[in-house]
Amino acid sequence: MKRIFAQAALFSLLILLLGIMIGIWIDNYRLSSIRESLSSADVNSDDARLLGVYLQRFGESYCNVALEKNLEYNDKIYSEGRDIERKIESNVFTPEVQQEWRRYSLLQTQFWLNSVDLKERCSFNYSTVVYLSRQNSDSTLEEIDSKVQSGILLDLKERCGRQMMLIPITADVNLTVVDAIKGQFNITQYPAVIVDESFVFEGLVSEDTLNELLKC
Amino acid sequence: MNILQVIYIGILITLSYFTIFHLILWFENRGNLKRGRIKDGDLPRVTVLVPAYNERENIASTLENLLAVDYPKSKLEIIVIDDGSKDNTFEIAQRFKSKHLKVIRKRNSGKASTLNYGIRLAKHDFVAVMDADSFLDKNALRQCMACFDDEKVAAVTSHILVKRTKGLWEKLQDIEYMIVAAMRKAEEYVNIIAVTPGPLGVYRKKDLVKVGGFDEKNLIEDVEIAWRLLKHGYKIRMAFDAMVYSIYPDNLKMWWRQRKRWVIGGLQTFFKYSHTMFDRKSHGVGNFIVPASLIGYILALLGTSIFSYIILSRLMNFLLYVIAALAVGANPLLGIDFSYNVDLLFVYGMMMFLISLAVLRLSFRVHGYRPNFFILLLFIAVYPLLSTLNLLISAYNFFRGERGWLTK
Repeated sequence: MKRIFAQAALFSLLILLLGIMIGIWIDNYRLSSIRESLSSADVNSDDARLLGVYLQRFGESYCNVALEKNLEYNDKIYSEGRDIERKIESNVFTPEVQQEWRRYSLLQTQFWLNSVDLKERCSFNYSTVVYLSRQNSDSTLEEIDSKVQSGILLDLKERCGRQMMLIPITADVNLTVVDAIKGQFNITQYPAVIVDESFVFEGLVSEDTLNELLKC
Repeated sequence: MNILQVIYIGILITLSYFTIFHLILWFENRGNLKRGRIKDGDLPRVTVLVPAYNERENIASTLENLLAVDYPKSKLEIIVIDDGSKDNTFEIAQRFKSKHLKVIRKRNSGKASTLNYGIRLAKHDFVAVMDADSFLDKNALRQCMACFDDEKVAAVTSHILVKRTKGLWEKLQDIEYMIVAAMRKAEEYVNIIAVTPGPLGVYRKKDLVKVGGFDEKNLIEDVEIAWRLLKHGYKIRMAFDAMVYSIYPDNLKMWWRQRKRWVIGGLQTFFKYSHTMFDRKSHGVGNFIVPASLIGYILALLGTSIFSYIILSRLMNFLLYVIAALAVGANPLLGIDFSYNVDLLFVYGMMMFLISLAVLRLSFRVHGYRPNFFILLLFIAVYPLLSTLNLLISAYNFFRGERGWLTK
């Protein structure tokens, strides 16, 4: 009987190990997919940012090209952003995924600053909407509000298209620049929405209220 | 990983352990499933006890079936004991009276007491006990006797299946009994068969008397006697080719009552033998059955608690989400995310599911059964939940002191 007990324990352990190995393989696959998405977004973001720098030096004839690049980046991050977030949340065995999360937040922040700069320099009339939420909230109500707010903003983005730059930023990723934004706009509650760097909403804000502010 | 995920994995590890344990036993011994046929001259004399209570619908066909079994009549004594039925069970049974078949009437005292009464009347060295709504294959009794090939074998259980399989509940139980039969046979090889079910069990009379007969206070005397025999170092075998078909509940209400009785009786038995936990002198009871029962109860409690918590918290979150969305005039459908990313819990859960499918396939193959997809789906997705729910509610009733017989 002891032998059967031992054999069963061994097989159970093997199955557990196999499960963990498959889990690690899936996590690594997902991590490389996140990295691939972010690398591609990285190039687009750098391209858009450098075009901004180029504009500063050589005039505004490249405004439309820069806008196109920015929109291209926003479209890409808009379509892939939620997927990246979900993948990051699902990974268990790869702590380095947190680093990718920070990188994603940095890219978003960089994109926002670039959009603001481009809007001023080239007198574009699109709206920038920064959506700040926390990854690790200990409040269920905050999580629910964030989910509702996310749905509202995605719906607005669908309707406004390129008239609205939607920039979701994770607020609790320990990045100096994100902390600076929170400090500057005095944000203490989440979710928070900043429209055109002027209007700050803490907590859930309705689609109607945002609609009145957006130019679409 | 959070605490719920750790518990979930713990439950899966334990379930996989017990499933693999049975699978190993099955595959190591699959060549010894059946025993050879004993010659008529070598067959021992047997007394068959048929306790009956309000069995007017089945008693006649049960006795007709019993009288037609392939066993020398000169070696067979049949005693039908009417346990104070309120219907005409006794009168129907009397029609079958003969030299080899006695019909006795006594005041109602419960099944275990009736069986003990019957044992005292039994003339032969072996006592077969069968329910009044069970039907034996022609060679069932003969094949049971073939298992008494060792002096330490005190009891032999048969291969029990569902007789009527027309209704949904009967079909679900049919699948369950096929799995139970295969797993029970596997348990024989390490002498941990924990029940000699009522439809047909054969006992060596002297061993049964030596351990004190059936426990009249227990609701499931067929489980209790098996534990007691094992505790005293006896062996219990299963005659895999002794097919017995019994009538099982054909609706949820009756099924629920039957299972409630089993759970309450199971807990009675568990507490009676809980002191034998890890006691080597108690043989299979202390080494396996009592610890495994405890683990089973804990898993059922933990699993149901986690499952209920997850379902309820998700439902609550969804309601709060809808309220929050409606409060700001948003469409609640906007933020719902139907996508799912595969994670470790899913992978491990699927692996456990595949192991369970292997057990199902093995059981079906042995019985030559081709399952209906819808019934199989219900069996996998709904039946275990109902069984666990019944376990928890019945356990609650047990701790509140309920001990009723819960049958007809």
